[in-house]
Amino acid sequence: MQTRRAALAAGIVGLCAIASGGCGGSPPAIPPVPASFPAQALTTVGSTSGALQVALRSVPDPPVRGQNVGQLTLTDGTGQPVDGVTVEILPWMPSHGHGTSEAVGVTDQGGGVFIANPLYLFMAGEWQIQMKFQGAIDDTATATLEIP
Amino acid sequence: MTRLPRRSRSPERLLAAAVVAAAVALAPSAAHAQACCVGTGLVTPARLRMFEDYAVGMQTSVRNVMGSFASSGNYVASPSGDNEVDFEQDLLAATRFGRHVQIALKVPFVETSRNDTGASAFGGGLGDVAANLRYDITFSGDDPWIPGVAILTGVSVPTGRTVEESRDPAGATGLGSYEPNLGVALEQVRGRMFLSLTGFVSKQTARTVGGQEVSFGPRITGILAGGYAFANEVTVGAFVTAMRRSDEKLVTSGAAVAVPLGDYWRAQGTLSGDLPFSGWGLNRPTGAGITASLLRVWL
Repeated sequence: MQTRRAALAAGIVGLCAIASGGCGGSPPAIPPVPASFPAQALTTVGSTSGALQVALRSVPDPPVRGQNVGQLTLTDGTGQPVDGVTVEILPWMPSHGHGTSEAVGVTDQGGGVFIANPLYLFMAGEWQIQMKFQGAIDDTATATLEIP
Repeated sequence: MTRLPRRSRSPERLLAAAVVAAAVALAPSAAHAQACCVGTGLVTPARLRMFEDYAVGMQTSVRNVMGSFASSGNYVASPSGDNEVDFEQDLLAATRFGRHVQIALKVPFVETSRNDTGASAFGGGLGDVAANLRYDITFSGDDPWIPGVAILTGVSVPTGRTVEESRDPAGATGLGSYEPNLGVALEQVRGRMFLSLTGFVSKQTARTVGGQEVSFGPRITGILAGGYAFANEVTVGAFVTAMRRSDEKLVTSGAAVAVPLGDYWRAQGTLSGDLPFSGWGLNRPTGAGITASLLRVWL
């Protein structure tokens, strides 16, 4: 009986020791920015105020579970590109109430074009790409993607 | 402490005890899913039978993610090359306060192995600790017509790591906020067969992500279980659970066995799978898994 109790206690202590430190996993490598994006946008959404149109493209197309690179093209009501804004992007799973582990880096390419890398959509289901614009225009927009 | 000597156990009480063991073996299956999105168990498998005073145990589970339900309700199998396996090990403890009240504690350790788009990741750690209280108003087996009725309540505590706090989502082990729950359990025995119905409402408290407060709707869970208790107290059963929260839905079914190992030990095992039929789920990954637990009890 004492041997069994000792074995049980040792197992519990060992498990706790391993788990107390835990392991947050290793962040995946950021994918390279592709030379080009598809001509056809995945989706085009209007901003909350209606002042902006945001066309979202991705590589791979359609986006996959895992790492993706996004491209945003901002235009105004007349179809002209919008410059002079900074963009923040938050991938979000609305039904589960969580985001992702990788912050999205946004690079201004000029001409209203922005690269969002990485878009780490690690789980199957419905994702929102929540966008916040500041500068020449203060606005927000949300695109919805379905990841198989 | 109310104790019921083993020699006084009537056949009815043996059956009722078997029902309890079976319900305990069935309940954990509803708890195991991805740590980022589903609260720690509503019921711990360390439920005490009426003549037991304390219990400690360990439980381990493995679940393979096979696909998902889209927001339209369509089932989609995981793409070729993508795979995810969720592991969980739990430390369990329970004690009784009188005949009617028992509390249980579950300390989970969660790991996830994931491969997607050519990348692989593994991570884990301490999950969300859960405490549960059970108040038995009536006991199954005491009366042929009045079922066992119990009030259940509990809370999971955000001791785990959220997705946003992890270097990789595989390292996520918790919800990021508290999730209290309240439920009712009904159990009845007919001969050697039993049936139990348990319903829970739980609600994850709001949490802040990136300066934005996120709130959650109530989660409703129902568990219907039935089975057969053999004379040697080995119990087999089957169950179906259904969960709904806002635009999430999932139905899971499975089978379980509970085996007494002498007077002071019992082993329990569960095979379970989410039902992959379009329209039966919304916005949830689906999978199948196996759970095994070993409990030491004190009479």
